[in-house]
Amino acid sequence: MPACVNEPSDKEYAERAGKGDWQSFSVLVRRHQDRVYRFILGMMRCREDALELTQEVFLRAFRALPSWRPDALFGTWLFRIAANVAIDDLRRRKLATYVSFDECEDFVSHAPGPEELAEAGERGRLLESALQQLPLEYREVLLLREIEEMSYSEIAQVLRIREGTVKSRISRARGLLLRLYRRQCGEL
Amino acid sequence: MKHCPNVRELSAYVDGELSETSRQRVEGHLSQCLHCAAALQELRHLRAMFATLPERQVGFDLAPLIRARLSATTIEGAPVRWLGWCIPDLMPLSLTISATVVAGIFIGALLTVPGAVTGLESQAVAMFDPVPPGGICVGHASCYNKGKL
Repeated sequence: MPACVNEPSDKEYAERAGKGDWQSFSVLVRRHQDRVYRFILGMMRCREDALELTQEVFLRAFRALPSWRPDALFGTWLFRIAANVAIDDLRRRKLATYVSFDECEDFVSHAPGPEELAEAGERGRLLESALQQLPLEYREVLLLREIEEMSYSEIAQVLRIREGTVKSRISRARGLLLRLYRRQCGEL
Repeated sequence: MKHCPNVRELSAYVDGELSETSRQRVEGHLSQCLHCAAALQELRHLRAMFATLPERQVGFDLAPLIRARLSATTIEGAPVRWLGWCIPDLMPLSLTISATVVAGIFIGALLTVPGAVTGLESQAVAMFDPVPPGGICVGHASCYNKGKL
């Protein structure tokens, strides 16, 4: 949700929140919750897990805000926390590799409804299924690029890697995703 | 065809992340190479598919839930900062402990310092005597006459 012109920026709200102002932090939550949730849902399998972890991201952010420095954009900093939270959780559950898409009813329940199960919707579902089979480092980089539309520079800041590494990972991730997608579609 | 750009370059080209020189080189090549043009088409198709994915949203305000979880672990608002210390909610407890210790030392001093206990104070602390007033002490020999009545 973009901030209105007259509304204080993320930086201003974050500075106030860092001093313990809950109201300012709740504005930041409302601004960023959907983006963080979408990213985590892409990394995880289930809506419930994603909701839980999205809250965890903001909890960690609130606790760490006193040490936040404005040299990093609040959104970038928040996504760095989100990436860490998602990967930590997946590793803890040992779901870092392949996960069957159909195992999660919650995720399936958010798939397009009967009327939307047209070709485009079905392809979207297959794409999400293929995405879930990507290694974590490829999945996160693609989600940040394709869903969050971050530049290579922003992704490099979020993941704390070099831009050249971002470029390579995105390229490899796309190659692998295309192969997995074709396999889902029965084209291979 | 010779000098095909690698997939990495094509992928960055789709994202508009190539330098001007590299972009012109790739575009020049794409106009002549069907193989790379087809690969580019696939990458663009993949991007287009991402764009058709439903935009998932939380659907409600998470802030109250987050606040409830914060309250469950810490006191509301920011921790109290005092003289550089971060003392969330231990201040009342520490004050109580200190007051109890000081009171104990004070009462102990009254009982142990010679001459500090006056007759009136002695009566006041008589309640702490193990033998109740008028009672029989069973512990000390001098309490018994042993047939000398």
